[in-house]
This record gives sequence, C-alpha cells and structure tokens, in this order.
Amino acid sequence: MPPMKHDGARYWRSLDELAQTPEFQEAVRREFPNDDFDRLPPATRRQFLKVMGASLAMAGLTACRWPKETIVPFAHRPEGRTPGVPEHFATSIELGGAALGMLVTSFDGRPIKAEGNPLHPDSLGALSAVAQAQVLELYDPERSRRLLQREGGQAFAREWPDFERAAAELFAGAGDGVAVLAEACSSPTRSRLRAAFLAARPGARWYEYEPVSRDAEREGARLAFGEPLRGHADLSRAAVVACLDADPLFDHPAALRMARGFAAARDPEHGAGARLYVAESSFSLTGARADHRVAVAAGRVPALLAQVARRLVAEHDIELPPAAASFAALPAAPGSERERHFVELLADDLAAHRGSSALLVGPRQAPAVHALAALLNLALGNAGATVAFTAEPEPERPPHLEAIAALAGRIREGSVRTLLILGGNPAYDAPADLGFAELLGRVPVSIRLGLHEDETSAHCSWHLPRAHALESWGDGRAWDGTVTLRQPLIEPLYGGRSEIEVLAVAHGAGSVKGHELVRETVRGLAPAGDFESFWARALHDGLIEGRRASPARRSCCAPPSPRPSPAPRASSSCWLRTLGSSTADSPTAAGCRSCPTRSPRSLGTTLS
Amino acid sequence: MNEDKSNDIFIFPKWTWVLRPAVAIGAAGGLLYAAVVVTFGFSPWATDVGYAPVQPVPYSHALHVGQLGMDCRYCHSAVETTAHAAVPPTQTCMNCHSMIRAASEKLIPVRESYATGMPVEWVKVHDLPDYVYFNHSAHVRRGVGCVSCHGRIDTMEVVTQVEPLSMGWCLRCHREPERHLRPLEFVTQLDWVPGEDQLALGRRLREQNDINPPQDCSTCHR
Repeated sequence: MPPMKHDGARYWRSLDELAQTPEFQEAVRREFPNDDFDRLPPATRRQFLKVMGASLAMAGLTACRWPKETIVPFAHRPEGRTPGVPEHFATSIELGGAALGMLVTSFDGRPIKAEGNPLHPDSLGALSAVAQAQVLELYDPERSRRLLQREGGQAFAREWPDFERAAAELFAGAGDGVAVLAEACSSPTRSRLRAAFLAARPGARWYEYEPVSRDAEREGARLAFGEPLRGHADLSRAAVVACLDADPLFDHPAALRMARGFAAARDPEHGAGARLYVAESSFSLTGARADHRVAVAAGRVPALLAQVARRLVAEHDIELPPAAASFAALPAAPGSERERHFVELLADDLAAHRGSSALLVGPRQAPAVHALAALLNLALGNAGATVAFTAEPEPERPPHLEAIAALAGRIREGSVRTLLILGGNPAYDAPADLGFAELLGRVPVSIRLGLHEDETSAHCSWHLPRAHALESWGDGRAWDGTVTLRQPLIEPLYGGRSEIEVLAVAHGAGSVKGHELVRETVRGLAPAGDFESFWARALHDGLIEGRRASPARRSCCAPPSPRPSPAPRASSSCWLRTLGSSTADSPTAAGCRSCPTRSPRSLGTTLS
Repeated sequence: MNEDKSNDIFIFPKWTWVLRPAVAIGAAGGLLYAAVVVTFGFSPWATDVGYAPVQPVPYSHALHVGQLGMDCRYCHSAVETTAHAAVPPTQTCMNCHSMIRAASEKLIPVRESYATGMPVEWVKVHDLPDYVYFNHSAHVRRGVGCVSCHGRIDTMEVVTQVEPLSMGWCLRCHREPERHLRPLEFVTQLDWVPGEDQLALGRRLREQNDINPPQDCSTCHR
C-alpha cells in the first residue's frame, strides 16, 4: 500500500506499517488485492448516513406491497386425503428397549402432534412427555443433514452409494475384526437382521449398550429364578403397593399402563385401594401419591427391604426359600425411628394382603435387592395376581455394562478393525473409566449412525445421518411383548436411513427399504390367509393383536424348564423362538388374573 | 422608534392578513384530505376489491360455470365438508381436458403438471389474514350462497374480488344473516333470485334452521 497522501498527522497501526517493510506490503496486498484505497471515492460519515437512511426508508416501503400468495394443490390428490383435514396414523417409538404405541396427527402431510394409541397396551391412549417431544426432535434444526467420511483429519461429504460401496468391502468375508455396537432395541426386524448378519459372519461380534437400563431387575430375576424373567405389575388389583426407590408411575416402560391401573385401584367405588408405601431418596411422581412415604438414601433401601423380609418371616410365618436368606442377610444397620415404623407398617400390611399386594424395586438398586423383592412377591402369593413374570425377549444378552466393557477390551487389544455403531452416543455416555472416546480413535474404520453429529461422530471415520422414528419404518415390542409397528409420517427430511436399513446394507442386502424389511418380518408373524388385509389391519391398529408374552409359570428357584420348542410357523425372530407361538389364545394378562390365588401356606411348601 | 433592539420583535405587515383565511382553509382542508384518503384509500374497498391477479392458466369461470353450467362443487369438492373449499388437483382438470382441447396451448401448464406431478401454482385471490379462521362448510351448509362473498363468479373471465372481506363486512352478516340466507339447494346457484322478499325468506330460514351466527372474538380469532 502506498503511503497515505494527506496533509495531517500520519497515523500508523503497527511498526511494520510505519516502516513499510516488504513483508507488510505483501501481507496487505494479499489481504486487499487490487484495492487502491486512495482511489476509492471518499466515503464520508455524512454520506454513509445519508445512504443508509435512504435504504432504511426504502426498505420500509416494501411493507406496503400486497403479498402475493399462491395456492399449491396436489397434481394427483391421494385417495382419501382432503386438504386441511388432519389425519391420524398409528406408529410407535422405541424408548429404552420397549416400544410405545402412539397416534400421530398429520396436517397436510406434516406430523404435528403425538398422542397415545388407545389400542396399545403400554399407552392406552396416553403418552409421556418424552414421547410427545418426538415431534420436536423430528424438526430439530440441529439434526445431522449429511453423510461424512473423515480421512486424514479432514471430513468429506459423501453420498449413500459411497457408503454402500465401502460397506460391501468392510463387511465382506467371515467378519473377523467386525463389531457392532447397538442400542437396546425390541425390534423383531432388527433381531432377524442381526441373526442373519451374525450367521453369515461367524467372526463378527454384537454388543448392546444402553446407559440407563433395567438390567439390575433382569439380573435380579436371574438370581432368583435361574434365568432372566421380566416382571409386570398389575396395580389395578393391588390393595397394597410398596415402592422401594421405584417410580412405577413415571420411570418405567409401562408407566402409563401402571398409572391407569393405580388410578383404577384408587377408585373409591370399585378399586382395591392400593395403599401406597414409598421409600425413596428424591421426590418422585409416585412418592407424591404415597400414603406412607419415608425419605431414605438409595443405599439404605437394601437394608429396608431386608428388615421387611425379616419381619415377614419372623412375625407373619412367611416362608422364604433358602436362597433368599443370602439376599435377606443384607446389611441392616439400625435405621431411624421413622424407618422402623415404616418397615413395621409395611410388613404388617403386606402380610394382611397376601395375593393382593405388589412389591416394586427401582432400577438403581442392585440385582440382589430385586431378587429378594421377587421372592417376597412369590412368597406373598402375589405372583399370578398382581405380579407376573414373563420370559425375557433376549435372555442370552449380557448386561449392558459388561457388553461395553467387553467391546472396550477388544478394541484395546486391537482385534476390532471395523466398528459399526448404530445410534447411541457411547463416546459421551459409556463409563468414563473405559475411555471410550479415546478407544474409538484406535479402530481403523468406525461407522456411526446417528441423529446428531455428536461426540461419538467426531471420533468415528464415517457419520451416517439417521432417519427419525417418525420418518422410518420399523417395529418393536411393548413391555408386555405386544408386537408394535412403526410407519413413517413423512419422508426423511435430511435423507437419513433407519437402523434396520443400515444393518441391511452392512449385511450386503443392498439399499432395501425399511418397508420391505418390516413387511418380511410381519409376514413371518401373520396367520395363514390373506396377508395384505392382515398387514393393512396391523398398520391401522399399530400393533399385531395377541402377540404378547405369556406369563412364565415357574416356581421359584426351580431349575429352568426346557424352552418350548419353536412353533412351525414362528418367525426367525429370536424372541419368538424363545416364546414359542404365543397367539391370541395364549394366556394374557387378563387370563392370568383368573389363576386361583395360591394360599401362602401351599406356596410355602412348594418353596421349601 | 426606540433604538433599543432588545424589544424589537417581528411584526407581520398588514398585507399578510389576507393570507390568514387561506392558511386556515389550507390547514383544515389538508386535515380533511388526509382523513378522506385514510378512510377511503386505506379501506379494503379500495385496496382489496377489484384484485384480479393473472393466473398461470387463463381458466375462465365464465366459460365453465356460466356457459357450460358446471356446479361449483365439481372442482371445489371439499367446500361442504371442510374449512377449505380446496382448489382442485390437476387431475380434476384432466378428467375432461385429456379429451377436450387436449392440444390447447393455454393448457400446457396443466398437462405439464399432470405429467410431472408438480402442482400448478394458482394465485390466491380471496386472501384472509392468517389470524382469521374461516370455515367454508359452516357457511355453505347453512345456506349462505357462494355469491354472497364471491360475487357472480359465473360471469368472470378472470376471478376478481368483489367484496372487501373486512371484519366489519363479516360482522354485518353475522349480525343480520337473513339478508343472505337461501334454501340449501340454491347455495351454488349464482344467478338465483328469491321469489319473495329476501328478508322475509331469510327470517323464515333462520327460524327454521336455527341459525345464530356467533359474534364473539374467538369465533374467528382463535
């Protein structure tokens, strides 16, 4: 830049400018190429304000123009669609490994509101706040909109065919060094694809991780019954409900159903009463409705339950199996006067209402606590009345914490070369001592399917945009096992794909639509006859009637009975295989109510 | 005169007195003029009535309705059941125009839309503000004729707005619906004239069909 030509004092901003060094002149030339400031018209402050004022005034004038609106009708209006009339579709979402059915209102092709599906057993027409917020998640502007590949510290925009080509190479062969990390998911279609994926690749490993889960409950059942069973509570028939650090009215996959049941039981005209005892460390929705509530630290809950068990055995002739002794021997440090009073009241009330009480323990408690609660429920005769146990859909699945630790171990020893992460955000929510984010960097090829470009995506070599639940086909199982369907309300906004579609690509099935994948699964569940009408009915209802788990009839601590053999027409889904064919005629929760309530004495004899 | 300039104030010369009435008339006239301009110039009668935008396809209601005698509801099929009268999909045009005037140049946008599935972008003529809720079916099913709001569409080559669609205009009818009520079978007949006194007929229909249009704010501003 040539020196300023003016008469006044010369100002400079740096010593380089004052000296006009060649480096400085070069830097200025690069910053402002071809601009000779001295030849530009002298823009004075006055002139600037004049121009800005005028443009502001002119900008205001545009408001006077009448806006021209257009009407954009369909070229071919879909059958049954009337513009401006909202439609409702039955679909579902997956929350923490259980599907929740919902009815979504679609206005002129856009989902605008989610409400509960009255036909769905876990929804009964209502929906939790988390599930209602799915609509907000769908339109979240922060969602990932592109497919990325990171190479040598740089990110490149890619297309789905690029990923398909890469996947064909990565997942070819026997799958040695291949690992898949997935979220907990109850989808029969995913189970089917997983089975096919693993069967074709004996070397591949599958891990499931969920940061917040009900694994302790599952492991507790394993301790008590020798195999993982899933507990269900029917609060509508309960005269006494005890919740130890549990929040069944809010923090449970079947919370809406239990809340209905609880409300029915509290009906003063027809209900069983449901006197509610709550011991908890924070104020929960359930605690707010308690008749007797005691605030205890979560760590005191095992001792509290052990005291209840001891009092039941000592004062009320409840007989517990020998195995329970080890659980009941949990440390019982003397509690406060309030606690002792609570324990006495609760134990006496439980004993007075054998067969019509329910003892629930929250997911934060250790498996042994859950085991003791399950055994107490059995001993009190509640099983089959207010509490039922059904087979766990995937009994072989290791607990989530073990799974993520095993995967971290394999990455550390360098035996994972290709890692496919389906959803989740392990770099953020895996246990911190695993150092998972750092481990991800050691995997040569890591592929991440996610709604957002988050911590995990940042450490992976591929990021794939995921289709939202309201944009994709899918299925799942409700907490009670009912097969629930998911249909898209809108095309994927950002070209994402669902978990099952990506899994199909990894399996080498190519870019199959989720619609085809789900239909194939449902075909396996359909009775003989007209499949199209069965499919239409299932889509309309959002679920397949009668497809739920039957209660496991098993005395406690008995060796696990052999599994029922798979029905000839059972689908390839693992969950169905373990259950055998549970059709509409199988005992349901309603059927279970009709079981005669066993007297505690006779149960005691079977226990001992 | 005193030499002291401190008390020297400016005094208008006498000849300026003749300007006084002129200034007064000018000020008053200016105010009046402004009031008239705002009252009439800003009213929907001036800004909205007569709005006749050019449409992508020169569709003539005069030809289709006036001469050929098509009913409004052949195309605006949702008018009796929903809030929108619904501009028809391209498919409706092609019901006839796949055979009639199938090669017409004027119909190129329609044929293109039909082939590609991309919509024809019609320009909205009767445009209510977004803060107003209006339901066609509520009016049509109670015997308010199309002509009451849209005018003689059957004589229009280009659809033109003939009523102001202002709030006062809406309320006038909500207060006195008998001026516009007609038997249901004549709702879409634009040239229908009552055989008796409109007010007498309207009162009878109002009584008979129990029509009491709401006038509270939340009826339209929901």
